[in-house]
Amino acid sequence: MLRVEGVDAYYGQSHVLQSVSLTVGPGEAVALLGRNGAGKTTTLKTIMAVVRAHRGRITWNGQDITGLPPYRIVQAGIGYVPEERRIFPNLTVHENLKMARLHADGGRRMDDYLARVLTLFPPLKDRLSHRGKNLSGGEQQMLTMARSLGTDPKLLLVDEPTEGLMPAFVETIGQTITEIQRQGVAVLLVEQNTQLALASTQRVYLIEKGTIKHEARSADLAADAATRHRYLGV
Amino acid sequence: MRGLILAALVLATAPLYADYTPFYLGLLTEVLVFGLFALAYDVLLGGVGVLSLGHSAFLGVAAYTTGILLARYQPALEVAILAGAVGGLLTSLLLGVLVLRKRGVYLAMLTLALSQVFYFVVLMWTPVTGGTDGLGNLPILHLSDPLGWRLSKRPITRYYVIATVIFLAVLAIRHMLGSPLGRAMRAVKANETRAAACGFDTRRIKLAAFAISGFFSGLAGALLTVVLEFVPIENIHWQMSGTVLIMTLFGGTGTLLGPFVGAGVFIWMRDFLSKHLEYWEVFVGGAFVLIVLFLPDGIVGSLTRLLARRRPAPAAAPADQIPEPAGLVGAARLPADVHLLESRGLRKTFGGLAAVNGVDFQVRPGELRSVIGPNGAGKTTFFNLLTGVLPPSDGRILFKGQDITGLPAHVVSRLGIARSYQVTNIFGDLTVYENVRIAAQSRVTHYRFWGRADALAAVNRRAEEILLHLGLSAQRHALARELSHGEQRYLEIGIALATDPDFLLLDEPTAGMSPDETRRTAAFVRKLAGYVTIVVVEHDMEVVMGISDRITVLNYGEILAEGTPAEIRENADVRRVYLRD
Amino acid sequence: MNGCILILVALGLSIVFGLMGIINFAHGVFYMLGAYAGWVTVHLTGSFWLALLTAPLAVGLIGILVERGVLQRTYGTKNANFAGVLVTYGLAIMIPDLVRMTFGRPGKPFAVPAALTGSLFRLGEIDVHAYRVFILGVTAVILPLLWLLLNRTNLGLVIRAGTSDNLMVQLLGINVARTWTITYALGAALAAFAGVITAPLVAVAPEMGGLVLIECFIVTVVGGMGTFLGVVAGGLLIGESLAITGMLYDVLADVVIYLAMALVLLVRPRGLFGQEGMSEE
Repeated sequence: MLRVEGVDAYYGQSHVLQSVSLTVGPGEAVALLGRNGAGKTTTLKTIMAVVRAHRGRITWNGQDITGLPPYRIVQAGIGYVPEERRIFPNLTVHENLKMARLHADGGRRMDDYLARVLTLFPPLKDRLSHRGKNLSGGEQQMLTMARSLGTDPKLLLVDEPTEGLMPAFVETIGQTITEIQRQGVAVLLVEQNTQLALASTQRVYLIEKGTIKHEARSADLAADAATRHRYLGV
Repeated sequence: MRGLILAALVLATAPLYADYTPFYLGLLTEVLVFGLFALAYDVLLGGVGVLSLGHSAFLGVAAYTTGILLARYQPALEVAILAGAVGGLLTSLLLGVLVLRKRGVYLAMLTLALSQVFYFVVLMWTPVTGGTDGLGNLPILHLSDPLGWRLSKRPITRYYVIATVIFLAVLAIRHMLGSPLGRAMRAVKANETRAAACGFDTRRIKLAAFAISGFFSGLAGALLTVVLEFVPIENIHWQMSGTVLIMTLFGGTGTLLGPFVGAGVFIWMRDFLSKHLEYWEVFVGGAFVLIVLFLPDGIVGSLTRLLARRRPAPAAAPADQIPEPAGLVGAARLPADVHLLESRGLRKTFGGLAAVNGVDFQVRPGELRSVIGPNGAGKTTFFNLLTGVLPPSDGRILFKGQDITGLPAHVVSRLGIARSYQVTNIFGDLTVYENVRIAAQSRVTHYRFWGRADALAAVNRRAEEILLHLGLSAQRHALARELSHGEQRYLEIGIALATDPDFLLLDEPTAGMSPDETRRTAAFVRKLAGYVTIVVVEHDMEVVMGISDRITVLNYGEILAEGTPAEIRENADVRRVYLRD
Repeated sequence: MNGCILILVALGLSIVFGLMGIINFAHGVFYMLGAYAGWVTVHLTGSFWLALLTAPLAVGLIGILVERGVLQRTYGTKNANFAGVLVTYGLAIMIPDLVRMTFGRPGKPFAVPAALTGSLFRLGEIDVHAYRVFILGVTAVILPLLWLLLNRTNLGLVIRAGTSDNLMVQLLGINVARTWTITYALGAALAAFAGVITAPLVAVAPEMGGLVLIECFIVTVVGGMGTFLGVVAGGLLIGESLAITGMLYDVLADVVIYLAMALVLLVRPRGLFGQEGMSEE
């Protein structure tokens, strides 16, 4: 399981984390919610070592992973779906997916993996030979999530998966997260769409100005309009 | 000032305690000339952050111009020197126009490749330039009447004449760095996008820096011909560009003294090291690598930093005061029944995805409009289109009835459109005061290279006013990057206001602010609306509903709804898509 | 300079720039070191064919040392790309003098291997030398191999992915640092290989790297930085215009290619085959 303890981070000139602590248990789905600029994305980036943790400790299954380079954290079993999607635009969809398998087996046995992600994201099936830059926004988001599963994560950090997507896709993304969790992968979800986030997770942290302000069961927060209004403005 | 007087004293008395031999005096003169070359080089590197590897062309063209003139036509020495400097200037303009289409390391590569052209010309034009043998046979050099001093074979006279010229050149460069143009250069170096958004044509500013650098490099080249009374082809070989780069970085970029110290160290290595070690370039190259890796501020820069006292931390701002815009901006300057800004069928696609898809948008003068929409709805792209940061794929933008579609960012800014950024985008390495002052200066002058920028009274007054109203006066001397997040967000708005806009676009001004700061900012934006037309992108619905005259809702790059806050609150589409709760 | 050789050297420069964002000023030095490594091999063993193998290996190893020992210290620092340029520039000053120290100032003669001497056949008025045909043949073999390496292997996949987004490659569990080292060494080895096969045509001298480096710059500007096709086309174009103007009017040869570069910069700043944005920063 993931344990973040008292982490401080500085990101560029602003976006500061102040003593952020949170946990994600095995197979659990947890949401991290807050206003724009509250530090949600920075929290995920700090776990992935994209942003340096200036203080505090991050452990994964009891092992201290603070200060490891990003690729070691991924190899340890934490997958990452970045907010900006970051597909490789000049690589085909198949090559994009293969990139994720290189560490596991050099991309030699793609069949099981392809079968798994194409079941989750059927529209990608017809797109395998297309270049990433020619996909629609929804397809790019699917590719990003499919690709992150290629590193065989036990925990998946998902950053704003529905950003800029058509409503039809938004629902698909929600179902996919539930399905991924059903397959035994824990999820830490950052999402603007509160409804979707609360529906697809069991537990939720509320973050404000870089500090975790509130922790609750997702179902409880869904019923607690006052707290939601206070921290999320909705 | 004290430093300059000291430098003048040292220069004047150096021959007295330096070993009084023609050899040492010649060496000292050479150090001064190369110091000037390195300082001219640093106008570009330290001044606007452009790495050039083509300065051999500037020095070389000048050295040959002076040399050829003297050898063939024997004009007055002063004229030949000036002609050399102008030769350096013209060469730098030619090179600058070509290479400034690119940036960064690619630009550096281009300068090197293009500078080779001049080397080949010299190489091939042997009858005039002497080719690989160099250019000799210069006449006896003397100043023209009334001074008429002879320089040839008179090291002490030559030293004093050249030291005087170089001292004056340093004064001129120093003056220029403090001029409006010099400050604009620093702003370009600190943050090029933001400088463009303030109205500066950053490519031209960089070209101006090329010209200044080329002129003084040319002066150094001309003086080098006077010192050596010979023009070796090495002066125009690409390794000369490496030499000046090494000198500058040895001494430390961004200081007046550094280049001279660097030149001294380099020439010491060349003359004394090479006496004992045949392969001295191994040590020069090695030392250079070590300096880049471990002493990036150079000798002078590192010493200065060691000796400098720590700057006291900026005092915290009084947090409870609402900034007061009174007197900041003129009243709305247009009749209220025309559109100040209008977009027609505006579209922007990225690789097949439409981020903004056919937006028809109108704002009246004096209005406070909010643009809301889910993440990724295209709000920031829309701003980038309106401010000329991105060219639209289709559609038109009209401002005060004038078609501004496709105009670059700095022109849009000059027309009176200012913006703040979602992710704080300020001049982090400049002081808080300078952040606002440089923005205000853009309304007065961009390229003036004489006079002190700090003496522009109207600009100073405006900068003062804005800091006062933002509550940042106490932190004026702090570097912008040392401010707290909330203060940086205010400064962000302050920079935009300082350009005296008619139309202000604010991209999530309250991003990352505490509820308290958010409230203050909302009140401030509302007050501003009395003076300037505002479009604000904002996520905080409380703020949006509280301050807006009208609201536009974007969704998937299209306008979903538009109306007063009350209408938007009741709109069924909006509730479904955006206010899901 | 021969178009084929220009292509080989420029490709190494271009691949390294694409992935690492560094203009490698030590690239010409690797080319020169390759020629010297070849000379040493021939001097010791008498075999030119062995030199074709040892030179890229030896210089590739030096490339690894440079990347690990020097370049890696610049990564992640402020202005890392500038620092990369500066340190390789320092090496480009330092290493030729080291070579002078070891091998002496004068150049080393390097004979055309016996099997490839003389004229192969005549094409109208012109003798076609066997060695020129050999260079053409070698390039015709290496280019497709290199293309396959970049487009059909996992290493090539990572290089192409890293060229557009290095961080994301790491976020898929791949140790990019290792790829960088390999790529840098590959670029050095390519330059060295070109150095060996050029050696019989020119004198092997410490200064030989400077000129080829600048010509590679021109090739990449004309063809477009970071594109395989662009470098090949640019190399042929520049190499051939050098050859043709050289035949017609020797003095103009060098100037023509600079004019070509200036023209491309004015009319099509990204190069003939370059992609937008690739060479902006």
